Amino acid sequence: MSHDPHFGFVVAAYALALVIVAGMIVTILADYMRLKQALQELIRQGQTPDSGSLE
Amino acid sequence: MKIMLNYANPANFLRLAKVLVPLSASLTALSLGVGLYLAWFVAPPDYQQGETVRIMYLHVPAAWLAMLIYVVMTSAALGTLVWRHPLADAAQKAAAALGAGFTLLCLGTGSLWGKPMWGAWWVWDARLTSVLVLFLIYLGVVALWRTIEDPGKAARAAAIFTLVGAVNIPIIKFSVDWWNTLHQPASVFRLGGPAIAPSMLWPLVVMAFAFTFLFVTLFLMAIRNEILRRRLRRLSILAAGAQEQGRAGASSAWEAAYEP
Repeated sequence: MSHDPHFGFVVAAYALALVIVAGMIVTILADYMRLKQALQELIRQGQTPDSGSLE
Repeated sequence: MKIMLNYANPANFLRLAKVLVPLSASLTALSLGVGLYLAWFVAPPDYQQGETVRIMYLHVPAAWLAMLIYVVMTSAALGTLVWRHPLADAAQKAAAALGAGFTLLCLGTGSLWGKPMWGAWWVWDARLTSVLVLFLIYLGVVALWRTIEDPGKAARAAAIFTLVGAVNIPIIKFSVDWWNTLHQPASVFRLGGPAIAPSMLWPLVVMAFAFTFLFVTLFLMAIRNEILRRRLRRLSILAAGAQEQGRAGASSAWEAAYEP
């Protein structure tokens, strides 16, 4: 498999896929953590969450 | 329609997401594991392309997802403009960034496949150019959401832009039939059945399911984030209002205390 002259392109494609997919997952998870933390901070300050509203 | 309205309530959606996200993530991990094993160790090398054909197992599912996500986004845009579904704009915003990600993956892997097979990283043929336009449309939708401060106005602007951009989807699909392109014509979804050998088709199908489950997982998580972001915005406004009232109260008490 690795003796193929174009094997480097295959590895590069899978590495690119890993970077893009991991980037999407990390971005969404980091956003979730940040939002949850900010909401908890506001609730701690006395604001009550209104779960039914979406503006 | 009744189901749609039932899950219009963000609290119901959050409860549903709590169950569906782990389930979908598990299905993603399982199908991705099986798909990668089949793509790397079971599928044979192509008699002409050699090992390079293994890029297909990423490139083709990414290309399908790039178009599928746009169809999802178009449905959400209709939901915003026609039915005014409260979650439609959250879904549209969540889908745009994911669509850009999968389209970038399609373009990047296509380029890495094109260089050894065509001798060029990029050619301005109809299929490649229309997919690049799709990527730019996704970025445009993301930019609209980020630049318009009022969420309601941003939702309407992004929905209209999405509906206009939907014309590009049939152009991408039929570009290889309408114009003389370097990109090969359809080999899976075509009249007369797939033109690809079953030993390569099955790994491709499994990888397509894996990518679809991955999208569903990330999509649900991103919609959940949008619901939390709106809740945070609402609570921040309430907190700012309460602070303002407190300051006004303190100020009038001070004035009353020092009034001659």
